Amino acid sequence: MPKLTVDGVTVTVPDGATILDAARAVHIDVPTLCWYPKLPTVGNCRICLVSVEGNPKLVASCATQAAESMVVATESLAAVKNRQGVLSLLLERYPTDQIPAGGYRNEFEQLVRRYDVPTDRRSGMPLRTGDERDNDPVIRHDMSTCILCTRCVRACEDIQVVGVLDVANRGDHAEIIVGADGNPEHAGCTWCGECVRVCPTGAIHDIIPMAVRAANGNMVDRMRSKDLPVVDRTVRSVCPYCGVGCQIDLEVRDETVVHVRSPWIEENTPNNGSTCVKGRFGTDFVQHRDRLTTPLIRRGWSKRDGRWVFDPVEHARAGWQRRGGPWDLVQEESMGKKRRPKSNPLDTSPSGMGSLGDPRDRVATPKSWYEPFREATWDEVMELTAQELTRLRDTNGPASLAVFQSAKCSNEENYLLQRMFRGGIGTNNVDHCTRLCHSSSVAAMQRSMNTSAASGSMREVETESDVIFILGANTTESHPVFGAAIKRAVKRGATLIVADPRRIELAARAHIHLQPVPGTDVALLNGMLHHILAMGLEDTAFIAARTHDFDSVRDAVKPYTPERAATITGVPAELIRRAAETYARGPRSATLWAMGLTQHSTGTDIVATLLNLILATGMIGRWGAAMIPIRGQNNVQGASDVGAIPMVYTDYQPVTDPAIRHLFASTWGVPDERIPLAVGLKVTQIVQETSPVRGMYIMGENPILSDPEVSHAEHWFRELEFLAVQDLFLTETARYADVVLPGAAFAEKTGTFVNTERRIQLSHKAIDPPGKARGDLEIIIELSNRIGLHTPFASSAEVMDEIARVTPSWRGVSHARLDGNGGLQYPVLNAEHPGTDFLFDDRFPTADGKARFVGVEFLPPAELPDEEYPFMLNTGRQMYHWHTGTMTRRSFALDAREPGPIVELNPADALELGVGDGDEVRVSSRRGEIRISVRLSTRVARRQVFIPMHYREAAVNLLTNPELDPYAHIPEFKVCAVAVAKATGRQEEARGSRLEARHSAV
Amino acid sequence: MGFPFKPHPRESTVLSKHFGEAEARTLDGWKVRGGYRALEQALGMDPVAIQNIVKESGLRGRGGAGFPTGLKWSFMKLGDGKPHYLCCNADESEPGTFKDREIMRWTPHALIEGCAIAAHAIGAETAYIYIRGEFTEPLEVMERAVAEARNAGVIGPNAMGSGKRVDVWVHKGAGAYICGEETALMNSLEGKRGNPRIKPPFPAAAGLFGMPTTINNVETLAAVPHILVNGGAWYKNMARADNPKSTGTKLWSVCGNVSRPGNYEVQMGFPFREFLYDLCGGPPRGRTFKAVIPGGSSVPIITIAEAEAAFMDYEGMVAVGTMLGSAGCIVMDDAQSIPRQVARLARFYAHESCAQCTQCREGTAWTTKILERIVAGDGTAEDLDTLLDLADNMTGKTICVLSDSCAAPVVSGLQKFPDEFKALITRKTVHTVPAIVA
Ligand SMILES: Cc1cc2nc3c(=O)[nH]c(=O)nc-3n(C[C@H](O)[C@H](O)[C@H](O)COP(=O)(O)O)c2cc1C
Ligand code: SF4
Repeated sequence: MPKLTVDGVTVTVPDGATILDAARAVHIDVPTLCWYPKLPTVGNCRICLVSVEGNPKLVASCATQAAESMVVATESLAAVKNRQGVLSLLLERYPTDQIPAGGYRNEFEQLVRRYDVPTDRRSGMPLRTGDERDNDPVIRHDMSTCILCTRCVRACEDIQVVGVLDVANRGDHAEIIVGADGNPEHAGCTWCGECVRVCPTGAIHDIIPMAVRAANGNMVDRMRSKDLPVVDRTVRSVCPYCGVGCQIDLEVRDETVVHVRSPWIEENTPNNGSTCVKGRFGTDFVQHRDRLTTPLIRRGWSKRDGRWVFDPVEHARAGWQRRGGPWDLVQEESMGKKRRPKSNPLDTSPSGMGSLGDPRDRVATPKSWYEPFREATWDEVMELTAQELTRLRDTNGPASLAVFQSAKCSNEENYLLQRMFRGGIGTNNVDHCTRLCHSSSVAAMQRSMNTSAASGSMREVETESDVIFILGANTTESHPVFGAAIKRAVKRGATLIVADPRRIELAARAHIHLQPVPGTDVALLNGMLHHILAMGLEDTAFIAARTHDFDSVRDAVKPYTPERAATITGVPAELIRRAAETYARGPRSATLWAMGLTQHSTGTDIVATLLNLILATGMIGRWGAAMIPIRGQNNVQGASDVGAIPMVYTDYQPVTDPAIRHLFASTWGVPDERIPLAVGLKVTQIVQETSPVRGMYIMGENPILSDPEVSHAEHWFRELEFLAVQDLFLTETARYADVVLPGAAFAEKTGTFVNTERRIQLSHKAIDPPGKARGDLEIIIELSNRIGLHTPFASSAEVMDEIARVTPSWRGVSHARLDGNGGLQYPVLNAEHPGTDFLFDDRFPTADGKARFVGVEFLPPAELPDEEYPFMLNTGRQMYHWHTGTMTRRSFALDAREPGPIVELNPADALELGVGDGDEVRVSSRRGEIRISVRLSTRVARRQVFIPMHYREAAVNLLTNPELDPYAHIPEFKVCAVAVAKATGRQEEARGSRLEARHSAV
Repeated sequence: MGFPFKPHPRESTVLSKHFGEAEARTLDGWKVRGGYRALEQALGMDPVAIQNIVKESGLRGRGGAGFPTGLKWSFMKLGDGKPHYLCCNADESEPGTFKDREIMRWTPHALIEGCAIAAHAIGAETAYIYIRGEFTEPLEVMERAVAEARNAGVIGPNAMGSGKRVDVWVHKGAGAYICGEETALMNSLEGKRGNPRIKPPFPAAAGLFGMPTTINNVETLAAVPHILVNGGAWYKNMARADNPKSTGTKLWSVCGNVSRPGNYEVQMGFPFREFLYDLCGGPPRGRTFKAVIPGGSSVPIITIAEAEAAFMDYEGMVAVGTMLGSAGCIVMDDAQSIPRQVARLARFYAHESCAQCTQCREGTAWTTKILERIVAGDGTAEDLDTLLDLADNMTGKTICVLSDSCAAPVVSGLQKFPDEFKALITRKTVHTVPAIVA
C-alpha cells in the first residue's frame, strides 16, 4: 500500500496501482486518450506523462506503478509542454476546421481546448484515413478524425473478444482496418457497437435510424450520432431483450428516444456498460409507425341497453368468420415465396439497405390487419373487457378464464395482473412464457433443491471459475454480453466445455466440444457421472453432508459406461471421459444451460441429470462454482418470482397452502375462498382442445407464433369467447382479439426487472407512450378496480412495497434502494441487507437443508427421424432477432442485418438435395410445412437443420412437436423429424408473388 | 576484414577467425575447430558459475545498448517453476550494420553453441533465434546447422548426453526494423503485431509468452563459447589500459566512403583514426573524410575531427558525444550532403515506426517531410526551429527509443553542420553529389 503525493495531495493506493489510479483516487484529472478503464494499458498516446521527482524523464502515469514516497507533479511545465506537443502533432492530421470556435465536440477536442493548443495545421500532412464502413446501416467510420488511440481495437478484442478491428501498416501509413479486406462480416463483426462507445473523437460512430431534429431545426433522416445536437435528457433503463439485464442510457430529444448510450464502464452494472447489437441499436421499435396508439374493438361489438354484445352479422357481411380477418393464416404465409435475403452473411457485404428497401417499411403490419377493428376509447375497452371477464367468471366459473402474462413486462405489472386474476377473478390459470423456456429447469431444481433461480452470478463465471460447462446455450448469440464475459474467462485461462449439437461460436473456442445427437443429454451426462464415480472423483464429503438419495443416482448411472453413452449420443467415449474428469477436478466448475436442455419432452429429466452431476461433484455453493440456468427474456425470472405461474404466489409460495392463501387474500382484501387451493392450468394446457378456458387476457405475448404447432393455436384462439390482448403492436395473436389495449414500451414506463442472476434492477420512464397508449400498470390497475378488486396504487414504487411485504426474499427491496445503482440480488432480507451474490454455501432451502438426488433413465425424443422425415429439426434464436420478432423485426438495424428467414443446412446435405446457398427449400413435418431459404453452414451436423423462431413468414412452430414434458409441460421445441426438399412448383411461385405484391403495396 | 579478403594484421580475430571457411559451417568442421567443447563443459556446470564467468569477462551486449551480459543473465530467477526463454536477436536491421549476418553465414554453430550455453545459464530449455526476414542465406545456413546439431544430439532433449534439454528454434521475421527491439521481437514471436511493449515489466520478469526471458544479440552470444573456453580473464584483458569497462573484441561493420568497406574485428579501445586510415584504407582517392556515424544509424553524427580523437569502445564513443551502438560505422566524405543523408535516415525511421506513440508516428513523418523539403531547396529558416522542436518532442517520451533514434542524427547534424542546412535554405540550391573519381 504505497503512500505518495500527487500535486501536493497525499494518497495511499493498493499495491500495483498506477500513478494514474492514484491521481484519479484524489480527483486529479490527468488527461488520457489511449487509456480507458478495464482495457489493457498500452500507453501509446503519451499524453498522460507526468513528472516524478528524481526522475529525469517524464513517466507514463497510466503504465507506471505508484511507489512509496513518490512525489508526482501532473501539470509540471515539462508535462504540459509534452501534452501540447502530443495534441499539436495529432491536430496536424485532424480536420481542425471542424472544431467549433472556442468549443469542442468530443473528448479529444476538449483536451485541445484545455491545453490551449493552436489549431492551425502547419505540416501539410494529409488527414488520416482508414477503413471506412461505407453504407453500413449501423456503424460508420470517419477516419479523418481518428487519432489512433486504438481503444476500439482493444474494446473489440478484449471486451467483446471478437477482434474485428486492428492497426495496419507502420509509420504514418498506420490506420485502423476492419478485418483483412474491409468487410466487417468477414471479420466476424456483430455490430455490438463497443467501438462506437469507446471512440474519443467520433471517428467511429453510429447512425441514428430515425428522423431527428438537427441543431439547425431541420428534421434529418438517418443522422450520424456524432452530429446529434445536445439531447434533452438521458434516462437509465434496462435493455428489453435477453436475461442478462444490461443497463443502458436512453437519450431523449423531442420526446423521442433517439440514441442509446452506454453507462460508464466503471459504474456498477451487470454489463459494465457493454451491450450487444440488440441493446444498442435495436430499441427503435419504440418509435415504429406500427405502434398501437389507440384502443381497438373488433367490429361487431356494440353497446345495447347498457351491455356490450357481439353481432356476428356485421362481421359476416365483410366475409369474415368470427374473429377472422382478411389476412393470411400464418400457415399460408409460411408456404408463400419469401422476399429472399442474400442468404449467407459471410458472403455478402453488409452495406446499405440492399434490394429489399428500407426495413422500416418492410415488416410493417399489413393494413388489412386493422380492418376488422375500429378505434375505441379507453372507457369503451375497459368496460367491455370488465364486462366479459366478469360475465365468464359468473356464468362459466373462474376456471373458464386464463391470463398469459409477460416476461417482457415489469415485476410490478406482472404482480398486479396475477393479483387481478387470483384475487379478482378467482383463478390460478396464470402463466407466462417461462413455460416454454425454463419450466423444466424450475421443475427439476424445485424437486432437487427447492429453488428456482441461478445459484451464482455472471461475474463469478467471468473472474473466478476454473471450468465452465455450457450445455444447450448459444450464449454469444442469445446472451451476447454474457457470451463475451465467457470468452474473457477463457482468455483469462478458464477451461471451456461446451455440449451442443451445433458447432456454435463458443464450441469453436471450447477446449472440449461434446456434440451429441439432439435429445440424448441424459445419456451423455449419465455417462460423465459414471466415469466420475469410476474414477472416484465425486465429492464424497459434499454428498454425505449436503445431499441424500445418492444411491438412486449410483444405480441409475451404472449401465451408462462412456462406451454405451457414446453409442447413444454419438460423442466419442474418450471425449466424455475427458469432459467428466475436467469438470469434476474443477476446482471451481460453473454450470450454465439454456433451452437446449429444457425444451424437450424429457426436459425435466435432462436438467435433473445435470443437477446430479453438479451435486455429485459439489460444484455449487462456492464463489466460482455457479449453477446458472440462463434466462431468455429480460424479466422471465421476475415474472416467475412475482407469481405469474399457476402453482405459486410470489417467492414460489404454493397456492395449495391455506395459510399462504390467507396471507395473500387478506393483503388483497378478498375472502380466502375466492382463490382456489388447486393449481391452475399451464400455458400449454390452456390451449388444448379439452381445456375449460373460454376467455383470455394476454399481456405482451404472442403465443400463436411461440407455441408449438401454430395451426392448432390459430384455430384454438379463434374459438374463444373473449380475447383481450394488451400489446405494442397488432401481433399475430392480437389479430384474433376482441379488444386490443395499446400498452407502453420499456422506455415509456418505470418498473423493475430481474435478470438471470436474480438481480432486481430499476428501469426509468424516459418518454410518454404514443397517442392514447397507456402504461401497462395503469391499464391493469383500472381494470382490476373495474372488476371489483380494490387496487389503490398510484405508482410502481407503491406496488413494489406490497410485493416486498408478501415476498420474504424481497422484503428489503424498494425502488429507493434500487435507484442509481446496479440493483440488488435477492434474497434481500431486510432494508439493510446487501443482497446475495451466491447461494447455498451451507444449506439448501429444503426442509432439512439437504439437496436430493433423482436418478434418471435415458428416454429418446418423442419423434425421431425416419425414412419419410429423415432430418432432425432444431430451433432457437439468432443474434439479430429475438423471439417472435415483434420488436426486433421493427428495428432498422436488426432487420437490415437479418432480413428474412433461413434454414441452416450442412453443405454435404445440401449437395445431396441439390440445393445451394440462398435456394428455397420446403421443410415439412407431420404437422406442417414451410418454405424457407437455405443458409449453408457447417455449424449444423449432417442430417440436422436449424431454423430460428423469429419469422412469421416461415413460422418454425408449424413444424415443431407439441409433445409435452410430463412434469413441466414444456413442449419439445428442440427435436422433431422433418423432410427437406428443393422448393419448386408454379403454384407456389404464383402464390408467393401475390403475397409479395400485397406486402409491397403496404 | 570479412570474406573474401584476408584479415588485416592489426585485427584480433576471435569471432571472425573462420569467416570464409566453408567447412566451418558443418558440425564436423566446427568440432575440428574446437567447437562445442564449451557447451559440453557448460552443461556440466552450475548456471550461476557460468554467469559468474561471463560477468568476470566484462562482456557487454552487442545489440546496441551495451548492457553487461552476465548481469542481465543473473536477473533470471532460477528455479521459480516457470518456463524460461532465451531469444537471440538476429534481426539486424540497423542501417549500416551487417556483422551478425556474417557470423550466421560462416559460423552458425558458434551461435547455436552460444545460445545453448546461455539457455542453460538462465535456466531455459528453449532458445529462439529471430532472424531478419531478408536474410535468406543466413536463414538457410542457420536452419541447416540447427538441424544438423539436433540430429547429432548436440541440442535437443538430451543435449550432448548431459540429460539436459536445450532446444533451439529458428524463426524468420517479416521485414520490420522495429522487430529488432526486444519486446517487439517477443510480440512478433508470439504471432502478434511487432509493437514494443511498455516496460516494466522487463523481459526477465515477464517476456516471451509472459515468462521470464533473456534476449541477446547474435554477436554477444557468439562470444560466449570463447569466453568459457579461454576464461573470463582472457577476455577481460582485451581492453584499453585506462578503460576496463569495455572488454573483448568487437566486430565493426564499415560502409560508406572508405577505400575498403567490410567487417573488422578489433579489440575494445582501438584508436579510431588508425582504424579509419590503416584498416579501412582511408577515404576514396581525392577525397577527405567529413563525418562519421559510428554506431549504426541511431547514434549522433560526429565530425571527422571528433572521430579521429576517439577510441573505439563504449566509453570512448560517449566521450565524443556519440555512442558505440551496434558498431555500424557509416563514413561520409566531403562529397556528401549531410542534410540529404539525415533526410534519408529520417525517412527510414518514419517508415519503420511501429506507429504506437504519437510523437514517433507523427514526429518522424513530419521531420521527414521538412527535411525532404529542405533538401529539395524549398526549406525556410523556420523549418530548422520546427525540426529542433520536433526532436525535443520526440526525445525521451516514447515507449521505445526509435523515436529518439530519429531525432539524434537530426539534432547532431543540425548542430555540427548548420551551414549546410542554412546554405540550402538561403541559396535554394539543390544539392547534387559530385561523381567519385576512381
Ligand atoms: C528500434 C530498435 C531496434 C533494434 N534492433 C536491434 C537489432 O536489429 N538487433 C539487435 O541485436 N538489437 C537490436 N536492438 C536492441 C535490442 O532491443 C536489445 O537491446 C538487444 O537485442 C539486447 O541484446 P544484447 O544485450 O546482447 O545487446 C534494437 C533496439 C531498438 C530500440
Ligand atoms: S517510439 Fe516509435 S517505434 Fe517505438 S514504440 Fe513508440 S511508436 Fe513504436
